[in-house]
Order: sequence, then C-alpha cells, then structure tokens
Amino acid sequence: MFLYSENSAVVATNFTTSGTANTEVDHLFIKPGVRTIGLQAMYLGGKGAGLTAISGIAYRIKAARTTATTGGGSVITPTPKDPGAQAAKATCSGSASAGFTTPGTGFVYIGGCVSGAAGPGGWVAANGDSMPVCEGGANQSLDVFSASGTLSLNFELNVEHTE
Amino acid sequence: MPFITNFSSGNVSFPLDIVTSATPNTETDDAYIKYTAGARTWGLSAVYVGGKNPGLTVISGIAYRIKKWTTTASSGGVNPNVANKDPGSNTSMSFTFGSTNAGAVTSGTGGPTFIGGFVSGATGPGGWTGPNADSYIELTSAATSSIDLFSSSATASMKYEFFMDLIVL
Repeated sequence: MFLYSENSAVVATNFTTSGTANTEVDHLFIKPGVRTIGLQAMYLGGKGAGLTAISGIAYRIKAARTTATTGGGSVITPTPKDPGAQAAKATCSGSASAGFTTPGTGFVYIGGCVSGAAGPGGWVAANGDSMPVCEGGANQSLDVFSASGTLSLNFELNVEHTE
Repeated sequence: MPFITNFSSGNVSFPLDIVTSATPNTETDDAYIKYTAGARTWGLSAVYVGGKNPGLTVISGIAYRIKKWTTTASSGGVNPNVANKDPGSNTSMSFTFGSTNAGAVTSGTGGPTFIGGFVSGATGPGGWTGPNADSYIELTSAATSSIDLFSSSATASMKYEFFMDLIVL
C-alpha cells in the first residue's frame, strides 16, 4: 500500500468551525480514483489564540456512499510519504470555513475524535480493519466535518490515507 | 478479516452532546451496544471521546467507565443508523445501540462487571484503544447482555461526544 498526506494549511493557515454553535461544516473530502482508499489517521488540534475560556471541537468522519462531495474549496494534492511512491489516484479538496457547494449524498457516520480549542487531538486506525474505506472507482468520498458549541474556532487538520 | 462498525453519539439527532449527571460524582449509563441477530463473537475495540463544553473558565475532568450487564441487556435510548467502515462488510449481523442524548437508557441487570475506563478533560480529548486483539472487550452473540458506557464527573452536567468502534470477529 501507498500512504499519502493531506494538510489543511495548504489551503489556509487556519480552518474555522461554523459561525453558528453546534453546526457542522464539511472541511475536507477524499474521493477515490481507481484504487480503494482508507483513512488511516487524522492529526489535528485547536489553534485558538489568547483564549480566556476553554472549549472543545468535535471532528466527525462520514462517508458519502451514494454520490461524492464535489465543488467549492481548494484542491489539496495528496503527498506521498515515500518519494518513491506513485502519485495518488485519489483527489482531495479542503474548505477553510464555507464547506463545499455540492455536498455528497448517502452520508454514513463512521468515526471521529475531539480536541480542545487550543490543544491537540487526533485519531489513528488501530489496525487495517479499522480504516474507513471507499472502494476504488466508486463515486464516493470520505469527508471530515467539524462542530463545536463555541462558534468560529480555529484549528489545523492533517490527514493520512492509504491506497 | 473482521468487520468494524462505528457507533457515534453525533450520529443521533439533536441534541448532539451527551451530558454527565447533574449531580457531581454520580454515574450515568449513557450508551450501550447489544447483539440482536447473528452468530459471531463481537467486542468493543476502541472508544474515542472528548469534552465539548463551550466557553468554560475553569477546568474539570470526565471519567468514562465501561461495564457489562450480564443478565439482561440495557434498552431504550435511540438506535441510530450506524455504518460499517468498509462498504463491502458483511451485513448479516444486527446490533441495537442506544445513547442518552435523545432518550433515556434503561440499564440492564446482572453485575455490572467493570471492565475498562479512561478520562478526558472537559474540553479536550480522551479515549481508549485495545492494544491488541486480546484486549478487546468481547461478548458472545447472546442478546441478554450489553456493553455500556458510563460517565462521571465531579462537575455537574459536562458535555461530551463519543465514537465507538465495534469489531465483529
């Protein structure tokens, strides 16, 4: 298998949760090419600057299993961890705060984690069976949403996927 | 290969947050998993949690306790549409899930047997992952028992969110 990295900072220094409390925003999706993909890890954290109150941010992994998310955001080119690896067949886009113009359909909820508003969080698949998967060639995507009880919190997101 | 199903509190309709007891240091039975059909052994392989309280000016901790009801399973709550992580997974197994963010859970009976736990901050992450397959919290296919997630905090009414991975062997 090949391993690829996608980083929100390629799109914007800060990604931001919704301006409305407890409202989800779809910030990043990975759509498979001809190879099956699996989400192996998310390393993330709140980047609040000079906060005087503490809050939490939830990050939710959902798979769009009827049609993939498309539209809006900015392309994030997956970076192979191994320079000898081929270019990723999958495509990825990120949206700092607005979400995507054409959300996927058939979303199923398949994972997530939480961070503080000014501290780290993350998730790593315990083993290969624990990775959320999209089958190669399918019109599907793996999406990462944020939600917080406090509005407009900054965070940074780093994702790894396998093919 | 085993199949992994994910059960997340955020998958249940509003309110999205689970809330600890309004009485400090009092346990609440917040969620359960029960097998309802099929004949395979299953278990809890990971639980990821985090406090989600907005705008706190003091810090607190939340304890999460995993327990087994052994005579009758828990019931009630809401049974959300959970999904397998791999769309090609076997779907012949059936589980019942419930969580308190949209309806009360009625605890089972027998025991409960205390079989795991961990802690998070009131606004930060926590969780547990079985370090190997022997560490998974397993049940046989019997529907007369359930694995439940309890919470307890010295501060009243702390909000949190959970994500559980369920392995079917």
